[in-house]
Amino acid sequence: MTQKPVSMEELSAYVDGELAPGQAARIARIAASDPETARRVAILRSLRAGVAAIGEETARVDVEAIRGRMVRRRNARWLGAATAAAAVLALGLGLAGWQSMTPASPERGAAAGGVVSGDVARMVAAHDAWVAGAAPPAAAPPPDRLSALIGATGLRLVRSGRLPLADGRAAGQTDYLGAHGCRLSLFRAEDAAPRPARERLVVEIEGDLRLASWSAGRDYHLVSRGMDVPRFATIASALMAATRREGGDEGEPLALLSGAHRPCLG
Amino acid sequence: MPVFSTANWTMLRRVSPRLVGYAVALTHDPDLAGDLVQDAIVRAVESRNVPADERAFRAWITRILRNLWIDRCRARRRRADRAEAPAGEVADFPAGFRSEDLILNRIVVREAFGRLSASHREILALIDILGFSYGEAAELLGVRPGTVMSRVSRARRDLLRRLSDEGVVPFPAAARRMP
Repeated sequence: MTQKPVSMEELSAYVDGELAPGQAARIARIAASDPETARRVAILRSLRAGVAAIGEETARVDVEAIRGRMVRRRNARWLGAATAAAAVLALGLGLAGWQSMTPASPERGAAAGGVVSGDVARMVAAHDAWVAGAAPPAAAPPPDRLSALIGATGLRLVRSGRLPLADGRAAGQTDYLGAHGCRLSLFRAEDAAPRPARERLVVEIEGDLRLASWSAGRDYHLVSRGMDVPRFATIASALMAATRREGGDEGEPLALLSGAHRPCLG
Repeated sequence: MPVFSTANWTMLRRVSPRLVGYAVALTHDPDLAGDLVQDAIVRAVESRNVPADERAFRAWITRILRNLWIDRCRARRRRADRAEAPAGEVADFPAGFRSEDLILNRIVVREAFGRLSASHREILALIDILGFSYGEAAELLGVRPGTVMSRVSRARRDLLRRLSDEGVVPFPAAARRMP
């Protein structure tokens, strides 16, 4: 009995594993008994292997090098955007000054896991403990004016606590949670700062850590991880303005904060 | 905000050699292919919607690269395509052809591949280099899987014809036939 010849299309699909099991079995049977079909199958498999090797033999792309360039470019872009956003905000609010965002300063950078040191390191650790679910449970206090301002950015007050500081003072900690996983902690020293108030807002970026510090009668620190940098800087700038305008009109910072809705990274 | 994760970078490292092969097939120029892959990676990393599944990721970044290439071709008003050999004139499997000849002549295969039409190079790159199924390739190209099956077959037939008719194929075999 003469077998129906196998077409090029069928053979091609056969070597690609694209035929239905019944069709593939038929071709396998034919190839087992017909040397010419077996030769054709072998040629197509070799041809496929030859084409598959083309890319790697002719050009290479260093993905790691591209990644390094992109990370550097992105960091530079964030730095510029955050600086611009916060500077515009500071100008709009008539603030005393704005210190551009920098990587964590050297005097604070060595200790506490290479990020920050002293009381600020305690605050970062307290924020991380809350994020990790390791902080002591505490009920959320009634919202105050700062909570209302932060709430305008989509972050909800969920917890408060008290953090002892190195010099015997303490700071109040309030933790905020966003709808998409953003987490932010605000630390307020309970007592007036023992030194002259810090004129400028300092925003520091170290990896995914975002840290902002300012003074308004007392010291304030804002901590987050992975938050969009312009958003973080906007929140920090608006909070500094609000804390320096006790009892004043908060329409301006509120309007600015209302636009600061961005998802967190990771 | 970009959401390209460490897992995405790992997938990218795995797929990049084959992506380069696909880019070479499209551009027929290793330098241009490298640039195209790099641009596709940049576009992918800046995307807000990155597939988590590896197969979907591979199809997604291939589509990005393909669209970039189409955009460039349009921008330059460039016609890279070459005339396809009429199917009727092609002998499927030239006599004397052996699979061993192809294994020994990878460079020759590469040269002949470069002389294929752009559409034949692309379909073979999608199937043989990137390892797409006919269904995946069909989705990317916007055609039916049966069309992909026909195109792959025609492209391979064209490649075999070029390897044979242009005298480049059976290198060792031809040498053995010489007096």
